[in-house]
Amino acid sequence: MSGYRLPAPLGRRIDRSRLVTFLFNGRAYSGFYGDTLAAALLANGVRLVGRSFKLHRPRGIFSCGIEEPTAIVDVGEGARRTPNQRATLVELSEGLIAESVNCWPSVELDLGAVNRWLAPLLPAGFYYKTFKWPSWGWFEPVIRRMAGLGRAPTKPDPDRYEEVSVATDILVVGAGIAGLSAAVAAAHSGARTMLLTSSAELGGALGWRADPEIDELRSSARRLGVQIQTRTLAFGVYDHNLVCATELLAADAPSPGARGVLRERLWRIRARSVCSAQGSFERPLLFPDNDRPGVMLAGAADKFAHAYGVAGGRRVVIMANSDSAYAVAASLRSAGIEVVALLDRRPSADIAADAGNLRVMTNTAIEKVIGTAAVRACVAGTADGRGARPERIDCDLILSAGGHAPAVHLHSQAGGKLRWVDESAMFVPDGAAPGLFSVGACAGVFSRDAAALHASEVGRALAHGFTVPAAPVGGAGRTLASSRVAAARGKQFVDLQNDVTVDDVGLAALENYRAVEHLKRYTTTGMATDQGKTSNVNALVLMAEMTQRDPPQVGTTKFRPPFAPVTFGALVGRRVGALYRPLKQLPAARWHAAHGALFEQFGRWSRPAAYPLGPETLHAAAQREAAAVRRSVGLFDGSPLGKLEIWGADAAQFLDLMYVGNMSTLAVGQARYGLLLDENGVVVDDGIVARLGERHFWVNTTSAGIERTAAAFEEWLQCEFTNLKVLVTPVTSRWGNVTVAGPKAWSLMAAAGFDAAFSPATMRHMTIRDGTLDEAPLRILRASFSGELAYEINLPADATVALFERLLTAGAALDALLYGVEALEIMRTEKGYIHIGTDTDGTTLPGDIGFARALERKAANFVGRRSLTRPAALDARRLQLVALSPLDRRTLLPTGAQIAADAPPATTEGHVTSSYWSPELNAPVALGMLSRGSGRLGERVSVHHLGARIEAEVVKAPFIDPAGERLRG
Amino acid sequence: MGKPSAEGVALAARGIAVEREACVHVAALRHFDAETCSARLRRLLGEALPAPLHALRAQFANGGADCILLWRSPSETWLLCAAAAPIDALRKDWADAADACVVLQTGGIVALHVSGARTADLLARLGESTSMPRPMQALTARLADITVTLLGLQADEVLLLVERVYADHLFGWIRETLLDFPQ
Repeated sequence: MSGYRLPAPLGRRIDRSRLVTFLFNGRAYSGFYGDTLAAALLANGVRLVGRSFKLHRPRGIFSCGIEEPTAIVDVGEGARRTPNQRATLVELSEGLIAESVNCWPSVELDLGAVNRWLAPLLPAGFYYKTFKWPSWGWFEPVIRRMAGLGRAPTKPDPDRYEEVSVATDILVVGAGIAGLSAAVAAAHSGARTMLLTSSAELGGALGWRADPEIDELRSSARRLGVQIQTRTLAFGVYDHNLVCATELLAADAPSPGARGVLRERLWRIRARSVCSAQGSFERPLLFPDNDRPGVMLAGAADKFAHAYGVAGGRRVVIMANSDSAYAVAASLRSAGIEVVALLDRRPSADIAADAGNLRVMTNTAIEKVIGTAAVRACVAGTADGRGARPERIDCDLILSAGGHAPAVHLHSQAGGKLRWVDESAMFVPDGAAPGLFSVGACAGVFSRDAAALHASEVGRALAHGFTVPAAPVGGAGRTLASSRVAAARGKQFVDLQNDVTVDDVGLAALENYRAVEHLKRYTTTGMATDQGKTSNVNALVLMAEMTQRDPPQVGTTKFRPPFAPVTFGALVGRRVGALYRPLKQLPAARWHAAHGALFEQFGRWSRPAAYPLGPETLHAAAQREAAAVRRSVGLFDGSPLGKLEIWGADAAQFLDLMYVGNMSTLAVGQARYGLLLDENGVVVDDGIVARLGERHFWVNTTSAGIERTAAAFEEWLQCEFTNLKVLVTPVTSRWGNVTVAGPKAWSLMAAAGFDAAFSPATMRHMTIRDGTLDEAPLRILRASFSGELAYEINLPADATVALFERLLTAGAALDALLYGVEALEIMRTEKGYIHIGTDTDGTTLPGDIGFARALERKAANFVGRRSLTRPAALDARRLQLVALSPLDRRTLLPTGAQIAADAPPATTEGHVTSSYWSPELNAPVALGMLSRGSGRLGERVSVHHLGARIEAEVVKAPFIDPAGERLRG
Repeated sequence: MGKPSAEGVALAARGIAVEREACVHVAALRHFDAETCSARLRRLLGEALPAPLHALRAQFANGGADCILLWRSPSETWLLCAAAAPIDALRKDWADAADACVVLQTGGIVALHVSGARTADLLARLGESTSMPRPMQALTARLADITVTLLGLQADEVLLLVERVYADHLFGWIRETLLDFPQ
């Protein structure tokens, strides 16, 4: 128990009058309002917080912010459990529940720690080299179980998440002195300015100290109307200055049974200019066992002391590589924390002369850390391995101060370049990124006054559209790039989250994974929740050393969004449940529901699949409905059929160009089937084109194909056929469609009062007529997808329900019934009609589905024609549509089953695309795509599915009514 | 499996009200040449086609019905009316035109009337990153993952025009969003 609470006035962030109790690993603790979970745990003397990813080594709190690699916890329970939260960011709230991750049965006694003995067998990339024999499949389940850290909830999240989209002139990310200065200057210049900070308060690294300048900037920002968003983390920069950020709304953990709350908000901010002021991360040093609980970043200890009033230990050793450590030492001592020594790895340090009575040991490195679950002492020796004997120093907190790494993530995401500053061993932005300008420490400007001045100038310049001044990089002091301790025993961790050591980087270099992107993927350094915030620079400096290059020659990995983990909830927003994705609703949807429809999604539509009676299954209902339609008459909601009005003097010529088949020869009132191809000749849609007037056509597309067909028409008109006078207007929503099908279709319509002009005797198959029924306009098409006499009655959407009611009432004597999509699928398969997207795919050409003659007949050009002459299109082995029947006439051929001479992995000859039990034939019917299919009529084939083999025969389509007498009426 | 959602007609929270317009007649005026079309339009409505991204109010000469002409694209303008008469008259007048046509959309377009001080807040939560449309400004945007045409009527008053098939989805999204507005 080393950490403890420091007296006021230390702890500006906490309210000591508000005690908060919480549970960590099932044990009750208390903290103060304003604490983070990490601060409260430290104050309670908790050092062991988690276990490492691979080796299950004990780990504590390493940082004080977003860069935390080791104090990873699951927060909440049940459906509200949020995995892999950084304890340094979790705001303490009454009743908060947190658990360590990646340990079992407990963090103290973790059986996974056996991995530490297996460590020699688990170097970087071990999984690429091992588990090859006898089969990866033997090991995969175990490895998958072991992988990952926290546990995701298994129940739906009861909370809500929302998305907000806004636009602004200037977006400033980060609210330290640089960010505040930029925002105030921009707002003062009249720009709409938005300021984001992931912290609960403004001020950044200075926000937890009494600072009049920060206070003044805060007031100015508010006075000037800067839109300030606290607890809002910008995690990504996307095209055209779109910045995405998440705002934490419900910091307080709701009780498990409570009604959901609005928990997070995703901000989508479109900014004219973005100003990044995200500060920097402290770089840790490499020394043996630098991962033990009680090893911490120096700046973090300073912040814990001043912001939260928490001392991380009672006897502190600072291991330094840079000047910044001296300021931390002074700050800690001013807080009453004993700093027993400052070990400076550099041979000499001018700044040491100003350290007063602080014991400074230059040319010194830590050779050993004593203590496993908590630091008890360290052994210090000379950094160059020569000179005095190693000295044991008793301590319970070792601080690591290896200089700073500017947070260049957003700059890099925006496409900015980086350059290496050797004196301070860091990468800084090399100029601005497109639309994004860095200020303050993330631009490499570490001098406070210079940062504030430069940021103000940038804010003003962005507001006025002036040239942005270059960043005065400097002020970070001298830092050595390299910090590893040569020839020391014990693991020196480069990436604490992924258990990547100095030896792992050495192995990568040895095996020639020298490129930084290869290094990352081979060793996994820089991956997972911290995204290398504390490890990147050390890793690439090591790689440079080991391959005799300079750090800039190694370069850095490309930073990609997100900057920090984002919950799925925030990304999903409102898209859950009924809003999961936009579903199109039928005009008569509620009427169908009231009539027992079983709805399913087809394309983007919610449609009745069938109308089961009582306990009837979907399959049984579809069989009953299909049989009834064939026997008498059925009503089907065809409203989803895509509908386009094509108008203009060149409409006929345009449709000839778009479809296989001549549409210009249609007389007014006639209709024709059409196949739509893309420029590759691939079948993308089909439908019926009907002529309403000399220059007016009605086009039905497939239900799912309306958007792509309308878009294709527009694209060809706007980009290629620009000389044609044609207007394309989608009207799907305007029209409902009631399809009446079956041998008694006309009997039903006549009984319902339809004009005799629509009777089969006067209105032929594939014709269209406008009419009225009780003054309601009708557009009736005689076409059939079921193979029966059928009328597609289009009418204003608002009138759809009334027509269904009327027809159903009139059809009672004819046993008329409603039928759904499943029954229609049975009937169209019996007829051998293709369903685009089911029987066809992204390779299907018209010749593959029986349209070879139509192609030959058409002399004029059409979209896709030229592609049909390519060698691949003429290949005799192409898959072609066939009808299939099992030899036993009983076994259903599974859809998707492969057709092959032998069981897989034999070369496939094709596959089954549609398969149903035909109530009409009392036997299975199926369609498939088969290599050379059109010439294999009568041939026997083998169909394979999940180890089963079914013998089948290529038969002639259609299965019923080959002469088409039924559909003609 | 999708199920039809309950039909809603009105929603409200503090500072905002959303109402499904009971009866809006809509026609798409399609044309090749804006000037010729404007001339035709002037005869009946006394107004030319609106400027891009704008709308204008017009009055049907024979009957005094109020209409709105709303720009949709360089070749399409919507005519919104409370009654069918202006559209019927226009269809009759343009029946033989060679350069323009009227396509009925009544029943296919649903109008949601949104008003109140928090209208802009609602639009921001539906996905609109530009500011709220100014009065008589007409924009087409992606709201709630679907295409919606926005017509600014007054300050803090906007008409959302959406395809009928997606109206339930948009209404549902608004309902969910307003749950998190103060009631």
